[in-house]
Amino acid sequence: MARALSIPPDAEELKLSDVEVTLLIHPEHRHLADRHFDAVFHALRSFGYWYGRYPYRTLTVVDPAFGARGAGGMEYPTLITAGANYLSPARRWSPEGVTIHEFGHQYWYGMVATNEPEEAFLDEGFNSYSTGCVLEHAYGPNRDSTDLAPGVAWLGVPLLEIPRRPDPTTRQPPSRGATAQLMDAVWLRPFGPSDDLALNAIRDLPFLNYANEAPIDEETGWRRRYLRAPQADELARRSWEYLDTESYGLNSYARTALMLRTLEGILGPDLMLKTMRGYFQKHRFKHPTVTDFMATVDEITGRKMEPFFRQAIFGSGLLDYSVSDLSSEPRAAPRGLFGAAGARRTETDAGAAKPPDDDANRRNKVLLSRRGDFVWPQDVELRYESGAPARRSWDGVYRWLRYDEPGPKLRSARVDPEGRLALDVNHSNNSRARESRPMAGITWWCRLLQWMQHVVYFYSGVS
Amino acid sequence: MKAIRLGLRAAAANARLLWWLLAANLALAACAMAPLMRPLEDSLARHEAAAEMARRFDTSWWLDVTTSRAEAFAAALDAAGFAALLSALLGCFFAGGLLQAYHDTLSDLPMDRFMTSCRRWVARFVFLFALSLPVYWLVHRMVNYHLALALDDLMERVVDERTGLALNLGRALLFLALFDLVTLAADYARVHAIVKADRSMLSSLSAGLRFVLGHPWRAGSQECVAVALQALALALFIPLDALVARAGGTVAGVVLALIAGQSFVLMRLFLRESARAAQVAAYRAFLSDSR
Repeated sequence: MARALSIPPDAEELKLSDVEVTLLIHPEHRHLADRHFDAVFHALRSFGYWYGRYPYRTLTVVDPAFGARGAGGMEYPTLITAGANYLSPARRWSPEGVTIHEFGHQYWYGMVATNEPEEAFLDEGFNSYSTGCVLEHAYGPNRDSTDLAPGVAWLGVPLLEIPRRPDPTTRQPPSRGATAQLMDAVWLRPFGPSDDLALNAIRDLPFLNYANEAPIDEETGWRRRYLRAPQADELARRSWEYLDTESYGLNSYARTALMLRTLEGILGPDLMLKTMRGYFQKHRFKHPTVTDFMATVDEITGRKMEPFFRQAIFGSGLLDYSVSDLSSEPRAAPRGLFGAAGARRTETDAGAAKPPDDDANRRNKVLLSRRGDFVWPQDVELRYESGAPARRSWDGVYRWLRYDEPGPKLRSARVDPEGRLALDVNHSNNSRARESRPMAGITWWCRLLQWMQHVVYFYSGVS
Repeated sequence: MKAIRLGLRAAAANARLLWWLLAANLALAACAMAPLMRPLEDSLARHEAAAEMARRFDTSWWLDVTTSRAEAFAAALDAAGFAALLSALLGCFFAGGLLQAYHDTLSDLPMDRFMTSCRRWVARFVFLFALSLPVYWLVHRMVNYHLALALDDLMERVVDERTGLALNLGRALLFLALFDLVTLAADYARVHAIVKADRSMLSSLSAGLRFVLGHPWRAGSQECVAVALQALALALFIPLDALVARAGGTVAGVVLALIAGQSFVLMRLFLRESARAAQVAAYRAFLSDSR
């Protein structure tokens, strides 16, 4: 969803306090100092205007030593530890992401003092969402990228780092074949990241296989993590009750951020901002729980959001709506027996008069499906070859819904046309076009083929 | 350089064999990736933005397709593992014929003679491959496990990140160098077996290792030139690849991409075979020098 929360128009009238920011940075990271400061100033401004003023006079940001990276990314009142790499490409949100995130904890856990062991998502998840909003507002939605520049590709996402969705409860990846296991055992692993960067580069030719210019927005980043095990747990669990550390992490951070982004899509950015601000203002320097948050949402929005929270926070069902089928054909000529006894006639395919091919005689059929257990009303947009798009609403309750109606030639249909439901686990099935373009997928298959050819080339040279 | 020149000439003289290698490479890769064609086609064919997404990688779509079709991708990755192993074995098969061709003559080797040599040496070269596997594994364990653990301890005392980066990069390059050393020794073992008609792979491996360690400049410089030629080919292909990618999503674009891609693989095969022929020339020169 291409959007970013904006500073409210009247916000300039709000007065933020002066804050003295101290950055303790290592000499070899000196070139990153301005990026740290910019990030902190963006965070102070955005958090201040969106939720409420940062009430302290100082903030200290510590850049941990290379040998003490474990100390990075921590938060304490008025003091945070960040993290940076000497080679931090301009097009990646590092160190900005960590700096803003740790600053955000001044709000979510610091002032709104939720119980981290019992409801970790209330600080890590809320803060991930807020961090994403600040990053998108300050730097644009698509700054993070696998941008192909010399050296940067190592840090990017190779096209062929293919994620595997493990079983949601056993956490085991799909079974691996005997050959793959054998190749792993003798360390002739034909794919997958490892520490041997130089060898991988020669084997995989990353300059050909890394996706060139692939922006990764915050939402996609969260989805990458969430989709590793979207059904392993309900979101609201006590930390020690999650299936494992991975599930704790993806629920507490990414899934909560997606839940809030979805809530923002449902409420709209302005009302969401008002809600988050209201929640912060009401509960700062207190110890709220998830019940307090839900009550605040209902109170400020005037809507009963219980059906959403029941599924998004206390359920593990998948949200996945799709356009499963679509056609737009001229109506067939009537066939069968017509007329009364004496004048009865039979119309067959051969003899039937073909109706004119106009809008009134064209049948548009669209089949919508609910593939997951998460039920939520859907907006549907029908786009035609000519004329304005039409909107429909579907309560999304039953497993499917079919539209069968006359109209102009249909070009495509789309559920959730504004991309409001970030929790949807498969965005690419949200739309369907009438015309098929098989070459699009084959283009990417050719790219995979090319990668595989270089892998085959590499191993045929191992003697 | 003389050996490289001879190698390039020998590989060019046996160009027909390169087409066989390319065909085998393409067939193996296509079989391994076949399970993914349908999922990728299904996923994009009816997508509203299919035309644009064929030209520009969409991370969100890739995430969708790889997670919603996880089983197909898992199957393809297993197939990739199998193809990699098979390609190593095919490499053993073709090596006998190719080296015999470079040893016997600089002109085109008749096909039946080529296949006879392939068959004659395949079992021995597979045995040689089996002998080298533990060495690869040993190098991996030493550098990527024991050395990595030792460096981890050291890293806690490293304050300047640049030092840490240099250490990590050094380890990666050390592994690459050792990996290449094992491959090079095995390559010269094959060359020794063909040139001296030595049927014992143990003595060939020993001779190969002795040659590489005893003449590091000769073997190393030749390998460096071979790597540089490969890098040059890659540098020339990258802009062409980017240009071809712009036509993605159309039949013409796919055909162009396939032609460009195959040309590049063919070029790589040619350069590698040239390097292999150069090894034969260099080893023969070494033998005649030592007489």
